[in-house]
Amino acid sequence: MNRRHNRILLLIAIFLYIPLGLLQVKISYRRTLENLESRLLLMPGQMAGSLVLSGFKGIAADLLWLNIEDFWHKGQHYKMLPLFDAVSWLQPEYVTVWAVGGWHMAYNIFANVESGVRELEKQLDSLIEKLTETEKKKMLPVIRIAEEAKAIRENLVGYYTKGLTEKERPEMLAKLTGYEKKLEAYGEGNKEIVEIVKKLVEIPHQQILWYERGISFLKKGVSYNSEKYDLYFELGWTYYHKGQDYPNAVKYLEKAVKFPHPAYVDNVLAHAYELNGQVDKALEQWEKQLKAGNFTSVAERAIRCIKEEGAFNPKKRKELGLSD
Amino acid sequence: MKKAWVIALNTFQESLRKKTFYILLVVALVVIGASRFFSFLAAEDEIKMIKDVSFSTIEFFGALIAIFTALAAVSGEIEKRTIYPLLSKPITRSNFIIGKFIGQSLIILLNVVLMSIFFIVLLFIKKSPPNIETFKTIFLIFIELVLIGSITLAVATFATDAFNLIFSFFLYIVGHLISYGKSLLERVENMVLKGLGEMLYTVIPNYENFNIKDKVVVGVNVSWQYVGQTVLYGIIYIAIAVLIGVYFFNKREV
Repeated sequence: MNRRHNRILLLIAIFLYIPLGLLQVKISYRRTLENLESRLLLMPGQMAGSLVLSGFKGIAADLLWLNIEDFWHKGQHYKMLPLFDAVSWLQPEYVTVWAVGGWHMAYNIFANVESGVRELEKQLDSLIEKLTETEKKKMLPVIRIAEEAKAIRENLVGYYTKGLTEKERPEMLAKLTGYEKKLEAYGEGNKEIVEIVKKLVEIPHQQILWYERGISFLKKGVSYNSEKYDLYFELGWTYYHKGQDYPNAVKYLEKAVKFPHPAYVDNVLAHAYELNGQVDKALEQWEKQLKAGNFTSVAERAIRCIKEEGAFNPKKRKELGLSD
Repeated sequence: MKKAWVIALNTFQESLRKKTFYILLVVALVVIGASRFFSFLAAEDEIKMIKDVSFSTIEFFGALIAIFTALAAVSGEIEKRTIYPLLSKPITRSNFIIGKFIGQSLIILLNVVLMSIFFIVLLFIKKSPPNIETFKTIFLIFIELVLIGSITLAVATFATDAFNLIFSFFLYIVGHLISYGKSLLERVENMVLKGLGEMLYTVIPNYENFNIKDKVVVGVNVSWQYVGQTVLYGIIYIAIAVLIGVYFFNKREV
């Protein structure tokens, strides 16, 4: 091949960069359109960083997920938190991370926060018993705060919680902050008692904040996965089950059923409608399930109970004084 | 073309005789098989991890095989002096490079097919048969590997093995990071710097175009239009690399 031909080859090679550049513009556009674009990441640790560099985000996310599993089984919930952030940075479409992360915050850490409460209560009781009547009178404002904080704490335990709805939370947080300020300013009396009561007030305060963190983590997940039912359902369920916040539960469960979803999601929506006072919609929802052939015996029973007795959901029945 | 095909078959057979190919292949299969150790996870997470590990292994070990095969293709012939009798025959230098390119592409294809079969069998064992997105991902990885091989082959026509090895790995990393560079470039105000950056963005192969594995494993669907455009991008880039390889090999004194 002579020199001239060789130069032509080089020119063709250079010329080919023009369609290549145009094609890259199209590809970049499609990557954004089809959600294939990788986001510029804040590196969550060297391991993830070095793997991300060579295009192995999935592997990096998996390694971090294995760490999450490890901490999970050891009950080290707090150690999982930065890892949830890291994995969701790496693979925001990995819905399990958002779902499990939100659940840990709103349920497990929420429960974990009050793990030492019995011990603190025992200590408080024994300290109060030792006080003289005059000392008790002096400590009365602190004892009252302890009693009120206990009532708030007890409302946060179990299935029928109070204080977690969007309406109740600000009021509850303001109340707890007020107690904390009062305790901080309280200069007289038994300091040990004051310190224990501070811890007892701190517990429901932290629980409410963890519930909020769980909710906001799930909401962030929804923003990255708005075309799937999964996280709408997780969010709706958390509002429904943990928060007893039925208007929000209905809002997100209604969004969940707009996308392909398992049949039980419709059941939860029917329950949420009923507890939100939308009995007609609940009935309609159960009728839909019956027509579709999903959970037919449950749907039949639900329709019968609502029509004849006015309630099907166990909580609603309890409120109305009906048998289970 | 017939002459190029003879060289291609020869390159393919020669690569098959090399221990490096088998060692890399066996290690890759062991890594893919090891992904079964994640059985303690929830089924959904386990499948995701098997897919992540398998796609990454096919890509990473495939890249190693592509680079080492391309490195040996030219320098091996020169070192063993087998190139002299070859070029004294009625074989043009372009036939030689095109033949080498086809031969190494066949080796890459064999490697990808073997690893993919192993991976797909694993998926069937786990009762999660592969969907079309799995095959799209593997196909784009294959095109990426052929591109990596063709660039290494082009560089091998004028540079030493050591330089080529470092350059290929460096390009592999930069090629995956280039899309991040583009978003930084959008914030540059200096027109000269911006122009230079844009030029580099076009010249450096964007390997991230071929990377859909991280999205596919979490259920994102990729359109055929995207696959088509990316394959076309790969083919044009491969053509450029082969042309450059031919150009420099024609100029080289052998």
